[in-house]
Amino acid sequence: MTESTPARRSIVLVALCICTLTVGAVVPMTVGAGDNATIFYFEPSETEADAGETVTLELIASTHGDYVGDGIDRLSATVAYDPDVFSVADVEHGPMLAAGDSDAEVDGAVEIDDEAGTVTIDQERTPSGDGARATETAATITLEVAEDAPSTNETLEITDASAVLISDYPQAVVDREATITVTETSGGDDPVPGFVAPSALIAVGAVLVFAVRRLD
Amino acid sequence: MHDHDLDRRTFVQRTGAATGILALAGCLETDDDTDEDEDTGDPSNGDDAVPRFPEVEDPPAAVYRPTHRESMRMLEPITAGEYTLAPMLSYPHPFWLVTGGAGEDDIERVDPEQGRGVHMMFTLWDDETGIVLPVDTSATITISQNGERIGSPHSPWPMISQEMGFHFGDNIPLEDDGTYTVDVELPPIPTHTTGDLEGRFTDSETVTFEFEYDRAFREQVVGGVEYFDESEWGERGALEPMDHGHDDHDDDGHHDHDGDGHHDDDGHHDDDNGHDDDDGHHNDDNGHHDHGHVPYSALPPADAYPGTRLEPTDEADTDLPRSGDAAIFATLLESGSRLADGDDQYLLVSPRTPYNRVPLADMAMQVTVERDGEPVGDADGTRLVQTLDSEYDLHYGASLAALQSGDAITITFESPPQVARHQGYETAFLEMPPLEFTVPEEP
Amino acid sequence: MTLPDRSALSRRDYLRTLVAIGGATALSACVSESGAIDIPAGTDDPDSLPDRQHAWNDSLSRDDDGNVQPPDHHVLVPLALLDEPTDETRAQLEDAFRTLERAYEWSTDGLLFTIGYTPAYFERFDDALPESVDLPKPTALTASEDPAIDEFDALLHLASDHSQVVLEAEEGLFGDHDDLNGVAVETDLTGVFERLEDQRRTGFVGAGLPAEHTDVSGVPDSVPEDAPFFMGFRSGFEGSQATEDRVTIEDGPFAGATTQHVESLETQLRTWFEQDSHPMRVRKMFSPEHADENLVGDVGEKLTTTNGLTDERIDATEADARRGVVGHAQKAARARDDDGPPLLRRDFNTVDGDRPGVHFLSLQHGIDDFVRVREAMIGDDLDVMHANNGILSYIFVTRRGNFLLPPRSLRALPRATPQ
Repeated sequence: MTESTPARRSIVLVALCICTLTVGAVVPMTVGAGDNATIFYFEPSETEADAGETVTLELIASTHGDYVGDGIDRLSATVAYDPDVFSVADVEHGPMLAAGDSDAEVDGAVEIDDEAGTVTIDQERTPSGDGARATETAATITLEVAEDAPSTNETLEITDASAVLISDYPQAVVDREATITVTETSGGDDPVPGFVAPSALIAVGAVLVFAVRRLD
Repeated sequence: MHDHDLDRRTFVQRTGAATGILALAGCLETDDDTDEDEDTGDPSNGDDAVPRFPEVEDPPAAVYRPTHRESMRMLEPITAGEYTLAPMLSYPHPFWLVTGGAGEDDIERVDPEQGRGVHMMFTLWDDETGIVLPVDTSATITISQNGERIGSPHSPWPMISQEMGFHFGDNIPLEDDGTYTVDVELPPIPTHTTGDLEGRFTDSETVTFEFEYDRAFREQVVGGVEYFDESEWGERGALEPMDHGHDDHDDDGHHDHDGDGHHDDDGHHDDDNGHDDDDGHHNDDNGHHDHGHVPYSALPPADAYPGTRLEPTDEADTDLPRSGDAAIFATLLESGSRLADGDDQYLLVSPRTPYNRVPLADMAMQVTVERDGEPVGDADGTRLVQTLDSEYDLHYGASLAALQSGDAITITFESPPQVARHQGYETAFLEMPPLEFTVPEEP
Repeated sequence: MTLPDRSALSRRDYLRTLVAIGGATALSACVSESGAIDIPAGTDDPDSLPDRQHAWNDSLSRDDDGNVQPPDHHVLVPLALLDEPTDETRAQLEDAFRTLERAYEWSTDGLLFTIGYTPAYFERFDDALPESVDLPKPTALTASEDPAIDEFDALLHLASDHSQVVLEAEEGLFGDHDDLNGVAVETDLTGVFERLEDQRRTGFVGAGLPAEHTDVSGVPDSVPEDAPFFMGFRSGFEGSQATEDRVTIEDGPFAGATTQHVESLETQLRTWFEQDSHPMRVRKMFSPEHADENLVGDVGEKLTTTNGLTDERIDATEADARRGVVGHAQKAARARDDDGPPLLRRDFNTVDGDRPGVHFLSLQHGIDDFVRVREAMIGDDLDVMHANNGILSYIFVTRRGNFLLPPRSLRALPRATPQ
């Protein structure tokens, strides 16, 4: 079992320990909550990968819109992974924000910080129209598992996310993590040691930005 | 003179604190279990794999706890003539209108007609007594921006909510960000007033305030929302009253709970007595004179009323008998009471919400009396008059000729409280069967 | 005055907007829009016209149920005397009106008009109005209203199905227009009256017209397509209207006259349409029973020639109030007497000032009839919440005016005690 990053872990724990629910998973609210929510989660939420292989997960965004029936036209999500185990091989924007209007497009940006172990997607629906109300893929993320990765259970967390309604009111965001079971394929190295909380500041050199425009 | 030089920063700071609490308390249950649920990760299961939409399914026909506590921006209270008005703003959200009958079909959910805008509320009170005026005033609101009026004038709905008690409010659509000016015209109050309130509220007054509608506002009012555990959604009970406009000092001692409008406890109250402590009501504190303190419309607890308390004929498992989950307190004031005509006694009926003792306004009720099975007085019943008294607050009353112990008094509710409802009150106080009381033996 | 953007508006809306703007430019735009429409000519024989100015009903078209249909376009022109009345100015005024009557048929295809005089006008005379005329100064009728009061001298009401006609008639009387439907204008009102532009009022009635005004702030998209009035229902049912006879003053020097009250109000349509359901609107507009029995239909089409208020429904007003909601029509009908409804409504919708509203114009024998009906409609005696008290919480009175509409023979600057 791999150590998570202490900094991230503490954030999540705060949320976890307050939510004493009867059944089911505990879902922290990462940002403000309205009466209605956009939910971010991964599909699959549990998967397996061998060291040296790639693994692909869909980041799903799901919203029913607001009380008026309008949807969201902006979203962002930062996914954190253990950079000692994973690196980002590819990120594709998905159609979620374009849902409900064949003329709508998703304008998106991706920022990868492989040193810190974060990938951030930032998307906008053009034109906004009535916004998106859907349960759809917001992004497809392909991770490469390090050749020397030990057998471990890794979590993929959404550390920051936002969804903004066409009314400009932010919407509550609920997120859920994914678990990737990594199987070691090369020699019996020690498990990856816990690493220090990454700082975005030291990772500037590794930032890769690209934008994808989806055309329907 | 009263000091309302409330520091706006106070609110900002408080809101900051509230947002912090959200991060601690806010969470939603999912239908899914990350570890075991086989639905996980299967997109074909659609919504099953997604946390449940925050909504109380099939709420009880009673007061219940909603999914969340709302967040709002409080503006400085404004005094005009005899009135003080505290404006409050939140995001547009649904409420329920009572459509003039009894029963669940006679309530109608009103969704905001557009996402941009605010839910505007105000609490109105008498600065002299601190009594929140749960009255049916035909206030008129006009909104303008840069001197240009927006939309038509309108009359806000009288409303009740668990957190705010009695207030006036409505969703107001707005287009552009910016500063808006609101004029509230308050006409004379038509409600029958007694005690120190007699002859008051006879002038029209206009109150003007401004507010900012911008991103910071939207983030504040959405960010401050506090969701409860899903297990509590729809449970019988009520949220604690919000403590509006508390200043930053916790040592002013005029109430005994936290001042931030959010409470460490979960706000469960299981009986009528659970709240006989002071919620910052009038008479017993000067809270409303503190910095921007907004009183909550709680009625006095039952034991604060004089007279002979009528006993419910049927055994009640609550402190006060309930009709449609409204707690009905009834007492007989002796002849000579300032409220009674001549030598009559005065029947004072005080319907209130369970848990928070919010007065239930705009009801119509009448009373019939039977002695040994025979009607006494008007067999068709005597109408009770909605009255606002300086001591007993909102109640319904009538002068009755001398009653005797053992007399059976039936209170019939011709119409339930017509006030609009926030979530948690919309299934209660609708179908209200009559209640029978007995005049007890002399003590 | 800037003309509206033609391309942004439907033809009907464009014409309506031109009426609201008024003036020569609007008129010429209106003429070019309407093209050469055939307006029936008037008469050279003034005696062929009714003696009562308010005798419109025989000239109005009727709907399928037989209810009279008001003209589509209306202008209320407030007038201030420039000098004290003289026989000369009386003659000038009468000539000008006869020009209108020669130019346009007395009908909705032509022109219907009245001139009414305020209590302020009659104050200039030494003698008071005769007892047979009940024309007090208007006052606020509720504690929550603070209306401006019409204190000018006279009010000209022009009405036609053709926007071009109301505009042209107004320009003929006050502007440079010297040809009215082929009749040369030899006498206008210049020198007699000043037109008070800032208090000029305009409006419209007709199925579909309100729904064309959703561009106006405060008019929601949810205004029903077919509704003739902003509040979404038909009105003016034969059985709910006073007859012209009933509102006519029969005795005294003003025999043949009537009184007119104009209550200008703004309406809150957003909450009315977006928050109240249709059954709730029916309850509040008519009566709870109208909703329970489904008597009204979408826009009142199920009501044929009455608003469906039986004596029982009217008598139930007080009890309905105690049950939670009371209807506007139900309350007001309490003021009916043995002769039926006391008011002859000729109200119309407006978007003056770019706000939805109503110019509630009603004719009655005396102003006390209006006050009696209005007080019944306010229902201070009823035990009901303001928001459920008919339509009270949706209307905001801004202006009131009382007028005497003398018989045609006395319409030109009458004395308070005509001989």
